Amino acid sequence: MMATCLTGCRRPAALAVILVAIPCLSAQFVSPVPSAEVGVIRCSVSAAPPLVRSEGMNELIGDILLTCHNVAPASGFEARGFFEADLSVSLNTPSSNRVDYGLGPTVTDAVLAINGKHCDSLGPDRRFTNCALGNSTVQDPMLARLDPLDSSRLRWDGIAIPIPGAAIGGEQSMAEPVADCAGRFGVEGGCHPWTTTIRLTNIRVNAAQMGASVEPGTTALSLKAHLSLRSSAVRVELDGDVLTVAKAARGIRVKASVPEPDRLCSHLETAVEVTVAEGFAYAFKTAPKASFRPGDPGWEEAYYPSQGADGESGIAGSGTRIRIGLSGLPAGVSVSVPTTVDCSSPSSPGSLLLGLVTGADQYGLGGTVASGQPIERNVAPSEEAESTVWYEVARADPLAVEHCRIPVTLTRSAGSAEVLQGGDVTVTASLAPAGPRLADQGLRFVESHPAPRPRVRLNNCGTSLFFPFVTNRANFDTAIVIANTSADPLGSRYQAGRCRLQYHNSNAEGQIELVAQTSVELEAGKNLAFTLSDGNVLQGVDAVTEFQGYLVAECGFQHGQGFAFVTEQINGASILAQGYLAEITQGSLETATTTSGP
Amino acid sequence: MAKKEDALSKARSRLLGGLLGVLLCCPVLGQPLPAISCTAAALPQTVYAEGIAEPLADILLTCRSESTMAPAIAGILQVEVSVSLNASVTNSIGLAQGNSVTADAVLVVNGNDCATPAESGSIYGSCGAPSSAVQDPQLGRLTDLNRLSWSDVTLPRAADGEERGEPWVAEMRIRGIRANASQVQLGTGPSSAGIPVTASVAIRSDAGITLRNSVLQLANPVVGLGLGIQGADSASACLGDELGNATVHLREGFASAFHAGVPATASASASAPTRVAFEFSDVPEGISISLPSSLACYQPEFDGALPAHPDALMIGLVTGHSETGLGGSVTSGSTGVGPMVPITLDGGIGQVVYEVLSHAPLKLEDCHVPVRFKTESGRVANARASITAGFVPHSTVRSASSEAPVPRFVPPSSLDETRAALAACGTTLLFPFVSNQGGFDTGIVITHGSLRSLSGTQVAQPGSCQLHYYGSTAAGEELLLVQHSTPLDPGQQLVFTVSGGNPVQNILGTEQYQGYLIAVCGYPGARGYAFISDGFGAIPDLGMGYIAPVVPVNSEGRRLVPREEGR
Repeated sequence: MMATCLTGCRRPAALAVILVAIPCLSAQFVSPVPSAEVGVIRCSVSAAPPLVRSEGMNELIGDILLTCHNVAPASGFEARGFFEADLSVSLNTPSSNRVDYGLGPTVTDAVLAINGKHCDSLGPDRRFTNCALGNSTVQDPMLARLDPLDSSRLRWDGIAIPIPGAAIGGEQSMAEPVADCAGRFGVEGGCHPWTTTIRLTNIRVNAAQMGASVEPGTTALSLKAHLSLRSSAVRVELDGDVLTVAKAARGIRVKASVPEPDRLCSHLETAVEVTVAEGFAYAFKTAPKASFRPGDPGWEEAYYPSQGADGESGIAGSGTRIRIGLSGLPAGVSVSVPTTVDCSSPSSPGSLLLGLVTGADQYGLGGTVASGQPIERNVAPSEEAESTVWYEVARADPLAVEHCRIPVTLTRSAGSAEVLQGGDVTVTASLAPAGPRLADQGLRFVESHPAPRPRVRLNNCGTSLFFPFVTNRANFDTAIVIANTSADPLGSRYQAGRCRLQYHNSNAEGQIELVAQTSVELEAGKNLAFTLSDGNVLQGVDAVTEFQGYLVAECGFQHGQGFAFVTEQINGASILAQGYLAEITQGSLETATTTSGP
Repeated sequence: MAKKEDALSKARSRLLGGLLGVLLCCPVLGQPLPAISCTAAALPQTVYAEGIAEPLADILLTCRSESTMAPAIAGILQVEVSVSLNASVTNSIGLAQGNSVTADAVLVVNGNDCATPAESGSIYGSCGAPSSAVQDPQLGRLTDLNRLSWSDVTLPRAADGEERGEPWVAEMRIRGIRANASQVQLGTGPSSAGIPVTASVAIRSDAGITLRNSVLQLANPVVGLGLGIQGADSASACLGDELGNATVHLREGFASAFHAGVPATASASASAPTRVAFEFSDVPEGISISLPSSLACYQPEFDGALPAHPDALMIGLVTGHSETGLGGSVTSGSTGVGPMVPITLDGGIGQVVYEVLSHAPLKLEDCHVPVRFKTESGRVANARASITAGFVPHSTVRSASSEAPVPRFVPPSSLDETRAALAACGTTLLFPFVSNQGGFDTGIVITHGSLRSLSGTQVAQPGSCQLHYYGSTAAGEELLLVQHSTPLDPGQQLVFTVSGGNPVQNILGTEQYQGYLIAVCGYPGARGYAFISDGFGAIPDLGMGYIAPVVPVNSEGRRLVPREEGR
C-alpha cells in the first residue's frame, strides 16, 4: 500500500524519503478493507444524444449508460455477489430493432452489457460464460425482448447486476466476504468494482414515426427514453430516469441548378446539377461495421455483432442510399448520370463519394454499386416521364456537413419532335432504401419529399408565329418574312430549324381546309421569305392559290420573328400595302428554379 | 539576499504543503471513506454554429461525502473523469505524433489553477499553483474523437472539517474544452439551426462515487452570420461611368458574434477580433469589383454621411492575409465609408476579408456593404457575382489538431451563396425586317426616350446605339455588320435609311441588304420605328411601318422570349 500511495501521489523524491521516515504513517496503508454488503443501489443514467435522420425507420440512438453505486443503509451480505433486476427502456417512438430472426418472436438485437463485458454470442437469457475474454465474473451481454404489448418498450428481465464492492460469487458458487479486495477487483475470488456500469447499446428506433415532415435545417425532435430498473431484493434508485437519447432531424436536402439557357435547343443536351446535401454532419453513412466501441456516438453505421439462429447477422449490407427522381420530363428527353461522383470540395476535401446503384428494385434495395472512374450512364424514363437513380454512399466524413453536386445530363433525342415542348422538371431526393413497408423487410427510410421541391424549367425549343390574315385573292398578295433572330449580340445561342407552315381557312361551304408544308432548315441570322402566290422553291415553300385565312408557322428555333406585307396589285402596279408583325403565340418558358434548401 | 530568503521560505512552505498533502491523501487505518456523491453543472453559452473549435462552458463537479456505506479502499481518493460529447473534440493537442494530451482542456481541483497545467494527475507544486496540498491543474487526454479523460485525479480530503464532523466537499472544474459545433448544425446557411452541444460526464473510482446530473448542455450553437443582397441599384447603374452598386447586407446572428477582440482572462486566452470573408465568383470577364477599405456600419440605419459612433460596428479591410484569412494588416477607419478598393479577380473569383474594428457588444448589429461593379471597357455590359460570406480563418480540420488555428470555422458553403446581378443600362430593339432590295428601302428612327414614363427612372443620360445587321445581300451573300451611332441626348432621335445611312450620326448606308436589325442602345427608354417603302427618293407606291419590339432581358442581360417576359 505504501508503494501504491507513493506511486499514486507522485511525490518528489525528497518528500518520499520524509514519508518513509514516519513509521506511524506507513502502518496506515496495510489495513484490510472488507467487501461490501448490499445497500441501496443508486444508478445515474446518461447518454450523449446523437442526431438521427427523421426519415429513418431504423435509426441507431446513443448508448445509454447506467453507472451504479452501492450506498447505505446496508441490508446484509449477498453471497452470489449480484442481485436480480428487471430493466426496461420505454421510448417515445417504436423500437425498430430486429426481431424474429431465429431466437423467438420478441427477441431483439438491442444489447445490455455489464462492466464492459462483450462477446458476439448473445442470447435473451442471463448466462455466465467466459465469452472471448475469459471473464465469467459478470453475466454475458444480453439481448432485449420487445414488450408484446408495447412496441416502444425493450425489456431485459432477470439481469444479474454486480453489487458494487461485493465479493464475487455466482449462480452456483457462493462467496464469502473478502477481507482485502485491494488488487483483486473484477477477478474471481476478489470483489466487484465499486462502480457497476450497465450499457444499453444497439437500440434502434423508428424516428420517422416522430414526424418525417420536419423541414430541413430548421428543427430537431427529441427522442426520449424512460428507464425502469426494478428489483424485488434490493432497493434501487435511478437518478435521471428520463433522458434524451437522440435528436431527429431531416437527413437530406436537395437543390437543383439552373441549366444553361437554351442549350437543350441549340446543342440537343443540357446539364443540370442536382445537389444533395446532408441535413447534418453524419446523415450520410458508409456501409456498417461491427463495433463493441463503448459509448459509440452513432456517427457511423455500427452494429453490435450478434447472430441469430438463422445465421444472419442482421447487419445491413449497404451504406446510405440516395434516391434522385426527375419527373415531368419532356417527351423525347432522356437522362444520363455518372456512375461515380467524387464530391470533394475545398470545404471538404477527399470526403464524400457516391457510387451509382444499378439493378435496384423500386425501393432501392439490392443491385450493384459502381466504383472506379465515372462513366456516363443513360437512365431510361418510365412511362410516367420519370427517371429515378440510386446512389450509395461509399465514403463520408462524419465530422462535416457535406454535399454533392451530381451532374445530370438531359439529352434531346434525335427523333424527338421538331418543336420540343418544355416544362418544369421536378427534382426529388430522399434517403433509401425507402418505401411503405416495414423496416424489418430491409427498408430503412420512409419516402419523404419536402416541399417546395426543386423545379427545373426547360424552355420550349421553338417558336410559333401567328399571322392573323394572309391572302392572295382578288389582286392581293401577301409577303411573309420569318427571321431566325437567335443570332444576336446578347449572347443567345445560335439555333437552326425548319418552319412548318399551316394555312387555315374555310371554303365557301364553311369547311375548314388545312394546307401544311415545311421549309428548309433556317440557320441563325437568316430569313425565310416568300409570297403566297409564288412561294419560295429554294426555301421549300410552295405557292398556294386563291387562299385567304390565317397562317401559323411553327419553327424549330427560339427567337423567331414574323413580318407580313399585304399588297394589292393591279396590272403589275402596287396600289395598296399594309404590313404587320406576327404575333408570337408560343415562345420559350423562362428558365428558373426553386429550391427546398436554404 | 532578500530574494534568497524568499526562495527558501517558498521552498519550506512547499515542503510543508507537500507533507500535508501526503497526510491528507492517505486515510487513517480502519477509517472507511464515506460514500461520495458528485453533482455536475454547467451554464451553456452561445457559440458559433459555423465554428469548428468553439469553447464550451466550464463543467463544475461538486463532490460531497454522504452517509457511510461503501467502505472505500484504503489510500488516496483518486478518480477518473471522462467527458463524452455529441460532437468531436477540437482542442489543440501536442505536436508529437500520437500525442493525445490536449494543450488547453484543463481540470482544476479546488480552484488550484496555474498557467502551465500538468500533463497527468496527482502532480503537486509543478507550476506555482496556490496550494501544494492540492494537485496541480491537469490537462485532459483525448481518448476518442468525442471524448476527453482525466485519470489519476486526486481529490484532497479536508481533515479539519472531518474532525469537526462536517461533510467533506471537493470541487473539480473542467475548463477549455472545445468542440466542433458545426457537426451538430442542421444543414448550413443563415436559416439553419443547431442542437446543443451535450456532454455525458462520468466519474470512475474505486471509492465508488455517484454522479448526479451527468448529462449537461455545454453550448447552444447559433449561426453567427447572415448574408443577403439588398438590391442592385439600377438607377445608379445608368449614371456616369460606373456600372452600378449592389448592397451586401451582413447580419450578426447573435449580439457577440461580431467583436473587436476579447482580452485574456484568468481562465481564457485572448480572442482575436472577428474576421469575415466575402468570396465572389462567377464574375464576368471585363467587370471589376470594388469594396470600401473601411466602413462604419451605423445602427440602426446606414447613413454614410454621419460620423461613426465609437461603439457601433465598424469594419476594416485586411490586406496580405492568407488564403484561409489569417494574418495580414488591417485598414483602420474613422468615419463613413473608406475609399473604394478594387479586389483581385482571378478567373472571375476573388476574396476580401474584413476585420471588426469596433462593435456594440449588447446589440444585434448589421452592416450594409456597398459593392461597386464597373465595366473596364466603358461599353454596355452586364454584371453579376455570386457571393458567399463566412467567418475566417476557415479550416477543414474538424478534429483535435496540433496545427489548426483556434478559433476556426467551416468554409462558407456554395449552397448558401447569394447572387447580385446588374443588367446593363440600356435598351435593345429588334427590327424583324429591314430591306433595301427590290426597290424598297427602310427608314429607321430610334428615339432617346429616357423619360420617367418609358424607363421607370429619372435618369437623363446620353448614350449611343450599336446597330447589328443580320441578313444578306441581293446576291445572297451573308452580311453581318455592326455600326456605332454618335451619342444621343435625351429627346434626340437617331434617323437613317438602310440605303443612305446618316453620316452625321455616324451611320453608313448599306447596299442591297435584307434581313433584321438589332439595336443595342446605352440608355434606358429607347424606342424604335421602321418605315418600309418602295419609293425612297422618288415617288413611293407602297409604304408601311411598324414599331420595333423591345427585346426583353433578365437581370443578367440574357435575352428572354417576349411572351414570357412577365413570368
